[in-house]
Amino acid sequence: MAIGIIDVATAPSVPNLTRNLLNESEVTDIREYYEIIDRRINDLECELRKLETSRNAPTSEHHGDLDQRILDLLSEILTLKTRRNGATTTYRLPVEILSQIFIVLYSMSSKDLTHPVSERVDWLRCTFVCHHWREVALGCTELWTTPVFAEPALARTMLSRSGARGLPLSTSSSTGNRKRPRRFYTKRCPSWIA
Amino acid sequence: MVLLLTSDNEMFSVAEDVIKRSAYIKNMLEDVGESDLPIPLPNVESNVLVKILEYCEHYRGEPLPASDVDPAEIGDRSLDIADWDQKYMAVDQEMLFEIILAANYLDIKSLLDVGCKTVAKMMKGKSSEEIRTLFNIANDFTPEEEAQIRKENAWAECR
Repeated sequence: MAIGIIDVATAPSVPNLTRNLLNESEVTDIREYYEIIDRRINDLECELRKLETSRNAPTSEHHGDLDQRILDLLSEILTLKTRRNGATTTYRLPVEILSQIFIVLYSMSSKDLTHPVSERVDWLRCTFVCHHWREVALGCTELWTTPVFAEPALARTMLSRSGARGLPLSTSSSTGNRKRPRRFYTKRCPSWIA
Repeated sequence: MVLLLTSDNEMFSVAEDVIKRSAYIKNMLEDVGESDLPIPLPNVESNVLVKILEYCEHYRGEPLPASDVDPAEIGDRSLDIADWDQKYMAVDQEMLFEIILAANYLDIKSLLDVGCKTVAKMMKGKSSEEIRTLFNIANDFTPEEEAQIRKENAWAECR
C-alpha cells in the first residue's frame, strides 16, 4: 500500500530525530512503517513515564523544566499517533463515507424510548475512537438531531452539535383514533441549547 | 462492449448492461456515445475491478436504484444485508475498503450502501478500544479531549 498520505514536511512539531526515523522515502512497506512508528512511540512513552516519576519525586527540583519537557513529549507522542492513524485503511475513506458509516451505525441503535439510554446511544462510541473520527462525527449534524431528553446534559450536547438542521419529531397516540405516527420537521428553538 | 483501463494498466472488456450499474460509467457512455477508446479508471486497481464486476454481474438485469435518494430517508432504510451481499463482502479489511472507495468513485450507490452497512456492523456492539484494535487505530486524543470523552462515555455504557 502506498503511504504517500503521510507527509513529513507538514509536521513541523515533530523533532528531527523522529523526522529522520520516519523518512517515508525509505519505507516502502506499511508494516515496516507501523513498526518504526510504534517503536518510537514506545520509547517516548518510556521516557515520559521516567520524567513523570522524577517530577513527582519529593526531592524533585527544576519543576518548570520537567513540566515543559513532559508537555513536549506528550505533544510529540500525539503527533506520531495521528500520523500513524493517517496510514490506516479507514483514514483513506472520504469524510462523507465515514459519516455515512456513522449514520448507519446510529440507525442500528435502539430507537425504543423504553430502552436504556446506553442502548439508544451506543453509537456514540464511534466518537471516542480517535481525533479524526470524533471530528467527522461531530461535524455530521444528522447524528445529533434526535436529542435524548432522558439525559438532559446529553440532550443539550446533541442539540449543540445538530447545527442548523431541523429536528425530526414523531408523534403517536395510544388512545382514541389510532393513526400512523407522522414524521415532520421543525426549526430548532435556539433557547434549547442555552 | 465497454473497455475499461485500470490504474495498473489492465484492460477489461465488459458488457454495457453490466457496467451501467455504475452511474459514473453510465453517464460517461451517454455523454460520449459509442467509442473504441477505453475508459481510464485511475483510482481502481484490476483486483478491485474484478470484485466490482462480480457485483455488477450478479445484479445484471435488476432495476437500477433511483439516483435522487432523499438523505432524510437514510434513517428509515433497511439495515439488513442480503445473504449474497454478506458473502460478497467477506473479504479482508484492505479489500473491503478498496471496494467501498471504488463504489464511491464509480458511483454504484447500492454497493457503497452495502459497504457502509458492513463496516457499521463490524463496529456494532464494540467498545471504542475494540474498534481501535479492529481498525488498527491509535488513541490520539489530547488530555482535554480524553476528559470530555470520559464524561460522554458514561452515557454510552450500561449502568
